[in-house]
Amino acid sequence: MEEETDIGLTNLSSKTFSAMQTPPRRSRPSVIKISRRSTTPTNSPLKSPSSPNLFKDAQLATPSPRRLSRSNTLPRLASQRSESSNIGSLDLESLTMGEDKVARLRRWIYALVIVDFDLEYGPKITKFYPSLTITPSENENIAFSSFPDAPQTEEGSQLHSFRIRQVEQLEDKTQRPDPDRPQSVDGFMYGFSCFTQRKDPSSKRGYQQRSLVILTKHSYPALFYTLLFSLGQSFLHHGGPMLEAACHNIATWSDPLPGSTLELGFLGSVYTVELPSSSESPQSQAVVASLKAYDQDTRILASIPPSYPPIIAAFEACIPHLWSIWECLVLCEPILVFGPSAAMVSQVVWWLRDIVKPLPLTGDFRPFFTIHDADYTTFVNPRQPQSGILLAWDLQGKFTSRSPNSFTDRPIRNNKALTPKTPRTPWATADTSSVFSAGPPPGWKTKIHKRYISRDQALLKRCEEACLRGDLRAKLEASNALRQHFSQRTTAFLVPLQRYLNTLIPTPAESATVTNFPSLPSISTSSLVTSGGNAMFPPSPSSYLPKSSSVTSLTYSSPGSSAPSPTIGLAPSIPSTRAHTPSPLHVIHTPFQPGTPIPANCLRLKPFSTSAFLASLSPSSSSTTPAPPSLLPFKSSSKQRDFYDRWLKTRAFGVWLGEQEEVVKAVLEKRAYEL
Amino acid sequence: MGDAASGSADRSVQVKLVLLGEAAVGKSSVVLRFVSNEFQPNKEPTIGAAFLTQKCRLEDRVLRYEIWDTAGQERFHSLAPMYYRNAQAAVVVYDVTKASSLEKAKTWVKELQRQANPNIVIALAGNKIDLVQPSPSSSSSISSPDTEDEADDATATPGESGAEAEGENLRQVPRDEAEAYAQEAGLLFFETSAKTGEGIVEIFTEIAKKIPIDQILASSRGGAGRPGAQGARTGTVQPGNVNLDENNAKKDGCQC
Repeated sequence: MEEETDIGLTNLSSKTFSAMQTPPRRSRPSVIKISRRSTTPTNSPLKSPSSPNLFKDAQLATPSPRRLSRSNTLPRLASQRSESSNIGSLDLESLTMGEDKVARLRRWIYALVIVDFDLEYGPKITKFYPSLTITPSENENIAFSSFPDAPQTEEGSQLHSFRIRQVEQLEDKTQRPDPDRPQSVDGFMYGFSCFTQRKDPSSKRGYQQRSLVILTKHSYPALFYTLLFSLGQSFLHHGGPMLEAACHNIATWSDPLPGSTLELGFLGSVYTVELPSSSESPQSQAVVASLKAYDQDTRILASIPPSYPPIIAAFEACIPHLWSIWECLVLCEPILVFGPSAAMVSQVVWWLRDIVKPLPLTGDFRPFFTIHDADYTTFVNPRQPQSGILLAWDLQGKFTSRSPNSFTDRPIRNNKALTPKTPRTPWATADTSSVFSAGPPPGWKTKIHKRYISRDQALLKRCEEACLRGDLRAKLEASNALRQHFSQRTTAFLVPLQRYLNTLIPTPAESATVTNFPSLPSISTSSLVTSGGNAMFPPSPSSYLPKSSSVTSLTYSSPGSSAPSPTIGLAPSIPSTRAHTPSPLHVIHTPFQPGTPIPANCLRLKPFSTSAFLASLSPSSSSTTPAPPSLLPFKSSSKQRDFYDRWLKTRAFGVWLGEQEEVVKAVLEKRAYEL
Repeated sequence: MGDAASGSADRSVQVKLVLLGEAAVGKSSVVLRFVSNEFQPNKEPTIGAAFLTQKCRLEDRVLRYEIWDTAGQERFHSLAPMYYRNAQAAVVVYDVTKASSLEKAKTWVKELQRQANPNIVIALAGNKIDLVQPSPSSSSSISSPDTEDEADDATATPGESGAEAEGENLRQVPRDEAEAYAQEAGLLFFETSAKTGEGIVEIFTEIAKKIPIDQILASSRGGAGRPGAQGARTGTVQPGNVNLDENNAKKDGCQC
């Protein structure tokens, strides 16, 4: 074993994705090819045991500047390992973890899971590390969700993710609460799976198929994809000790406090990670991601969708329709996503979820859904689909076989598919007897939806050109611009609602005896209008709130007065009713004196009136303040009115309004108590 | 303005440093002494590798060590390349009371010199010298752990139970021998005691002096990735320059 070349792990992670950086081949673009020929015996110098040569392609694409000869100084144990003997044997037996460490680990992840393909059983969980108490149905759900459904024909790895419902209580209610039972945030658990297929002569199938899954309560795709990318490949070659090393790293991390920026050491790399302040707050990405996939130099915005491969590759067949898709998302239309791989569809679903933040989530979303999911019949039945849900499949033939409307003869650029449907065509029951077909042609299948808002032609052109050129940088930049564009549209969409909501907050004059409370911060119109590629998104309203110290430093717009009084008004002032009250419904109770109990109904938003709000949209309204021009290029003012009217009927509106009321109430009460 | 050590992250130079060495030679104790100025007898063995950071000031520079304290146990041996990849510095630790641990250290040095960053600054540290010094008191007060040869216990320390410290009798690695090897191999060399603190800060100070800070700054500004990634320039370690004089080293030592 003396003379061998070895690029060493040193170079692997940084160059791994050079294979991806080459333009994807037109025919089979879907699989994230991490190691295409990693176990091909030909052309394969002896593997270095302590730093296995995982990525032949990487080596070919980017030759190592150093070629080193290895002598017999290798560690004893390591030199006994060969790659083939690693398949299957994982050294899982000795894995343990102290109770306190497990508790610290569970702040971030529940466990790492190994799922293997059992010839008789299908996907089957081999190991939870550390051990986790789950129900049999959860167990099955995790196992099947961890494996792509679409048939795999090549060696290599791909990352995908899933979201499954957590059973609220164990079936056996006599049991005491189990500390190993996952404690969810939102009733769901999130799985991030690295599926690997490689040749294994000892298997009847000739292949070994295995997934390594990070199971967590946090919906932080960018973070967990990055971790999994690092962990997945090293696990294949080092087995059990990798799981231990990973979990012990995570156990030493600081608490995952919302809104914090943390430095996380993981398997020899250090990541700077920003956590969102809430699950609905958008995280802006001011700079384009580095060309290197999962580069540790890049700050990780934990909740954004994974950036690799660039998302426009997946949308190639339907870029002009993205503006319709965004409208459907805002309007809580149920959407189905089909694609050739679990990797692609799950990335798309995270992306779609992301661009409508901070709108609240009202339906379920499943980055990767299988017929084995416990909720399968809830979603797939002859009834109208639930509003707001977002489902993704990688088995193209199954779901659409009975929905002829969904097929169009749209020009097909290549094999990438996004075929969302709107609810007017009820979903077909899955036809499990149907043979796997090549799937529907890619594209946007819904013909019912008529767009309300004009596209951004310049951006559309840019994206189409980026797709044509096939240059990775151009694709990344266009993808980033696309995400910013739609996030800004979502923010702009909320502007008129915020503006109207501000009129519902008791003015300082109305409750000056209570306090000089802030109204909702208004979104700076100018920043939206002039926002270029680098503009940051305005923070969501909730991020302003209860930090009382920062409250006075914010810009408020109160309908009654041009600026809030910086001092607390102690003298009782004469209650005034505003002249331009847009809503006939509101009632103001303000005549109380300092020292008297504060009327509760004074400390909350006045009722929302749909008609008043819609009236506030149009310049012809009787309101004394003329409505500013819309930030969204609606095709007409009646389209604008219709769009908002539809949104006000969605559950999202109800949830959103409820959140705003809570926020306003909390601030008002806090100020009142401080007085 | 303000204290440079507490300044923004971009003002300090990030230095990735890895600790390697046989199990139970005291790697984690060396780091703990450096980072927290503490000593814990009977530390449990490290799993994988622990990550710690420590900011230091060296003259007008602020360095921030990102320390990867690797596990000495054999089953984690093959993971080491992940941790020394792109490292600018390494501390290879052995136990002066255990001759085999120096041999192990030598294999680590060879692996580093073949596979790690060509510019990597390597320090060799012979730990546990408190056990071989004729110190009158201390060592007998510590409860002694079991002392099997291949103990996983990170602080398994031979000889502590022998109440009257045998002093140099416990020493299995003569200073001269290790120092000569370090010179030959181009390493910084120290004898240390994580328990008393002797020699610990000096390791990190001397490493800091040897790190090509300007290169690191230049390469990280160029957006070429994390500092250690630059590999074009060959920096030779010059053993002649190593200053082993403690007083001198302490003068501008790390402020931690």
